[in-house]
Amino acid sequence: MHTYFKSLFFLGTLLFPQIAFAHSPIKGIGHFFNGVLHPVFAPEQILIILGFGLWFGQHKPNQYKHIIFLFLAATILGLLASEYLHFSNKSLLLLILTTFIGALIITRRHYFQSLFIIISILGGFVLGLDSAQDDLTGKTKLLSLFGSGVGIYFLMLYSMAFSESFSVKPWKVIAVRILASWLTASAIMVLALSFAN
Amino acid sequence: MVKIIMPPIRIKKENLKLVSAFLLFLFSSSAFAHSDIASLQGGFMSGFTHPLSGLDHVVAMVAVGLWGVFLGKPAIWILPIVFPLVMAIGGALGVAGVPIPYIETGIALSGVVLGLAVLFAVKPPLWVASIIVGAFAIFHGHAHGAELPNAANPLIYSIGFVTATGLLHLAGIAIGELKHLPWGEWIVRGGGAVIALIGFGFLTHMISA
Repeated sequence: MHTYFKSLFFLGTLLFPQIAFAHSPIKGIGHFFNGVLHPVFAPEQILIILGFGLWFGQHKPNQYKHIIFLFLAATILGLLASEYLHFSNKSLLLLILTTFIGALIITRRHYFQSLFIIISILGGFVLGLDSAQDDLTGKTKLLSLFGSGVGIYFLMLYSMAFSESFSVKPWKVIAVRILASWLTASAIMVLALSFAN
Repeated sequence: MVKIIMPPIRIKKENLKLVSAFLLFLFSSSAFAHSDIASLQGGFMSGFTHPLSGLDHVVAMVAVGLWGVFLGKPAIWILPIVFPLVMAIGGALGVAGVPIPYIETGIALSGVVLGLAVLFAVKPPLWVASIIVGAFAIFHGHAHGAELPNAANPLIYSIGFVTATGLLHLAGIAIGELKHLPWGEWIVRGGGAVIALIGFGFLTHMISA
């Protein structure tokens, strides 16, 4: 399983060859790839995806496979429901969840499994809802949503493999916790701005 | 004929992974031409350079890392976690417009206090060190947070300056590791003296931000 994650980690690196982009990655690359890259250009999404990945990787992904699958299922559900469910403040909810997940990574404690499940489902669902591109319709929208799902999956897998491979040596474990503190601090600042506005 | 025997190059697998991860960071955002991506880049760089643009910020961040090394485990990693989190609270106060008096004085004082703590290798209990670092983090955070509403993309901006802050801590830790060398401790403590002097310069307005 360790080798599996290492392979996925390096495969993930090959999927983001940003140096090869001579033009904008948005123009002319099709709706599927627009969808794949959508989480990368939505800061709230990338923070929570990284947070989930670090969290899953920190807690022995083998033991929590079912929670990872629940997260992915909730994401797919959110993507599909984005056509029918609309509410504002999705970004706010994502930032609140990021703050919470960051705090859990920093403390590195094993809480109730039900807490893991609830946060994973909620986070995945809101992530999916937030991925809809409202200017698209029909098949193009579905293609874009599918791409977003793939992008979210690989980003999460990438950060999970990173965190899992950093779970062996003590200084690497600390590095993950420090990264989480950065995620939490960034989210807190922007939450404060959102509430102030 | 002279035969040159080269020793075999052995690269540990773990080092290879780290090198690969480092190379990944090199292949980032070099060719983005569109304004959306450019604005994300610009927002990140704007936030990233904000702590670096003030010497008073830089020396205090580095001092946190240096002091953490002197205090040893677990302070060496707790302080770099406490600082950005409390800084975020200070930033939130700045964003909310909650006035905190003597912000610049607090920032300058952080350099003096932390620099002296490194110079004299002061080793208080962890909770005391955390409170001292946290208290100063409020001032630094408030200064950064006040700029947040002006940023085009606040989240990217905050990611930028939190990352810069964290990297400065890591730089302090890296420099602090010199103390394990025979003469290293004196160099590190000398660094603390320099930091304290710079902080004193800001405090007495001999150096301006």
